[in-house]
Amino acid sequence: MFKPTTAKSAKPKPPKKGKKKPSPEQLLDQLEHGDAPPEDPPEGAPGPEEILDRLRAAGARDLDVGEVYRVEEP
Amino acid sequence: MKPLKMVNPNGWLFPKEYVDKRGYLKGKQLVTKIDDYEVTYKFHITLSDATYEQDRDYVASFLYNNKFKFKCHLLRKMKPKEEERAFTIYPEKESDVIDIVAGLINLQKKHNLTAGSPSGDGIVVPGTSGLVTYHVERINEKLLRDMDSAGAFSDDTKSWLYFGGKLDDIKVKAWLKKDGGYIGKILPKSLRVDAMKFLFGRGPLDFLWD
Repeated sequence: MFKPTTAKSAKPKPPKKGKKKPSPEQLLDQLEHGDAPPEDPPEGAPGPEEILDRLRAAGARDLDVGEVYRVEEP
Repeated sequence: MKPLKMVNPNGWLFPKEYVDKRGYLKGKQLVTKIDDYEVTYKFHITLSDATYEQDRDYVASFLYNNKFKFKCHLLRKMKPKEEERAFTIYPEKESDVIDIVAGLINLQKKHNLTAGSPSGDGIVVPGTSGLVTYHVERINEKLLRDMDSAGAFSDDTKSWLYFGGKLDDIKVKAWLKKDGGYIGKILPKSLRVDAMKFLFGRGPLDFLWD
């Protein structure tokens, strides 16, 4: 649908060392079985505010929804 | 509320001005370069079919007002098994990736969106209350062959891509020619999972898992 062409190269962030990542088994489980939408984050998992802080530190903007429209189907 | 006029060129809804005369999304999807690999990532948003009509207005408005490219489901097509891809979002630049996730976290806080079942061929993005999943959509031949050399294919992927105990070059050539690296038609969707695992830690959003 969306025909991609090579856009300006994105430089991925290098993985930080010395911090804990999900184990391959945890990742595999999530990938293969999905991850039920949690009512509350699992114990020890970063919550929305911590993730927002990381995103802001990486340069994310706090974009607002703006005017709310009603989706009009053809 | 003002209407957001949508079109339906191929069974999906797009904002009218996002689509060209041929029915393709305008613009250029972000291609992330990781060493010699070229990878396109996308997001899915999963929304409950029970509250889809209302939540769709919020999500579509956020994406449209901030000029992010997306498609979403028609109401009549939204069923429980389709919840996982209520919306598909295509980042066009590197900053879109983090802006979209941050914006959706804020949108969830403000409007209490109801997540549906998440997609099984991507990873749930932390902090999004299960709303957002992150996927590899396209890869290049170098990545495919390096994954093969590293033994990174699942048995399911091998059952599609191997012939005579090795990668089927005819299939690979057909995929490159017809699908331009897209995973999900000639190449099986299980390869998305394999590629996410193989690349994990090097993708544009993977710092969230550090």
